[in-house]
Amino acid sequence: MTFGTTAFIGMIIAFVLTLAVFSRLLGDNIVYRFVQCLFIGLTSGYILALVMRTVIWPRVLLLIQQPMQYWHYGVFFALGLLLLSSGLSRAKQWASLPLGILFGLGAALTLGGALAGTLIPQTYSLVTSLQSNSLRTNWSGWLLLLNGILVIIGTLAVLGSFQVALPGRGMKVTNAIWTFFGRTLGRGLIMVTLGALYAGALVSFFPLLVGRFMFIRQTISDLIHLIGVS
Amino acid sequence: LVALIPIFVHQNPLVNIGGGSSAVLDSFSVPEGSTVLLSFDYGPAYAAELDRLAAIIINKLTSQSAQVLVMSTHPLGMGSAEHAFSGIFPRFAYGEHYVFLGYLPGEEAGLRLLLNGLGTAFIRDYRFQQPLNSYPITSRIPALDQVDRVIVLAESAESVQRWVEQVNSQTHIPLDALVSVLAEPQLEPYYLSGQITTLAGGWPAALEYQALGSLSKADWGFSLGLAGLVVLVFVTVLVISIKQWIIHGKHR
Repeated sequence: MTFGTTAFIGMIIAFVLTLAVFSRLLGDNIVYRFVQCLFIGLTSGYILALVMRTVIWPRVLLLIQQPMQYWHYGVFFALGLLLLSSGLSRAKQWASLPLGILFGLGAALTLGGALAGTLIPQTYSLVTSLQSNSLRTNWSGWLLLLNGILVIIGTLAVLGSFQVALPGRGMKVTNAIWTFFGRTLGRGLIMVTLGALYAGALVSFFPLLVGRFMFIRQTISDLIHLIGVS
Repeated sequence: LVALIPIFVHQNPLVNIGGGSSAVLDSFSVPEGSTVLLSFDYGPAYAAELDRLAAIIINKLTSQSAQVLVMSTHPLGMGSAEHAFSGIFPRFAYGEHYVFLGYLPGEEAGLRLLLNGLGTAFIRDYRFQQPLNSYPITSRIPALDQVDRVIVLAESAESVQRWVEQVNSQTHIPLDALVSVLAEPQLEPYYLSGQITTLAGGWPAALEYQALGSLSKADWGFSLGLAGLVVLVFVTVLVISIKQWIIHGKHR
């Protein structure tokens, strides 16, 4: 296999950094901490360069070249600069305006999207899936109904697990039912869900680990081949 | 140790050839000459899992002569896009068949801006920093509602959820989600309600799809390694639980 100089240098750097990250298996050490800081700094720098090059600078140019048409970019840039004042002790209050706009806009978009994109369509889908026609014709309708009931029970149980106060001292039966429903069933469902999410995370990161091992093996093989050829 | 298995293993009967995910990917198709908005919402951490799916989708789109607009709502996503498109054959010309629109910041606000037109959200293309209307493909498609399909490759369920809530709920453009294994269960309700047209999860879907043709040695060993991991974790938990039970019993 032949390499260009740039590709070869990149491969060696990636190989060394991969081994440096794996050095964490031997315990916390300065090499791992240096690489950790390097990755964080590199990611931050890359994102800054990307945003400056592709998002901010083209809009600055438009504002300069066509100010009458793109005057609103000037307002946005001014608000962004006001946000920087949050780092100054004497001018902190000026950051309230852009922060207020950010939070208000974010909340409005999130709530509106949740209503129009999740709550209403999901509720409509659940209701229409329980039509009497589907219950009469085949088993799938009954399975959907059972699924819907289990979802409702599970949701109420999980919500009940966060209940702090019990209904009342004299209501023993209600207390017992609520204790089982909320604290036992609800917490049990939460633990199962967390376990499933953790398992999913393990499955997701397993390919990354395998990929790194394959890369190390391939790099060593290529280096041996290069040394052999030279 | 289990992750080292793929280096040595040649065959594995545990890959479920013809499973549900592969059927989904196999049926995935776009009409000839369609315009597709392809969003790479994942970074290098999930590249090992999602690059396979990206390669499958790009092969399908190129074979059907689709026009592809590439973007990302993830800061590191355009790097993943560049890597995924690096292997396409030369007849798929930049500017004529595909364009890199670039990174769209702002999450919900950015996706809402997309509804006002591609030229509002993206000023210049990502690769050469030229005005978008200088390319044939983007000069013909100024608005999002002229896109035939949206395909999102995402590492997290929240990313796809934003697309559903901010874009799909307003335009009803068919939305396909190719996600990590971690995100797939959280998006099932959207798939069952029809808000997501296609849902496929990570490397199992890619492996199953590729198994319909042929798998490389690494792929076979890869899935066996995962099965080994599952067995190892199960045995470890079992041993620890039994040990604790025995110790607890002795103290009593």
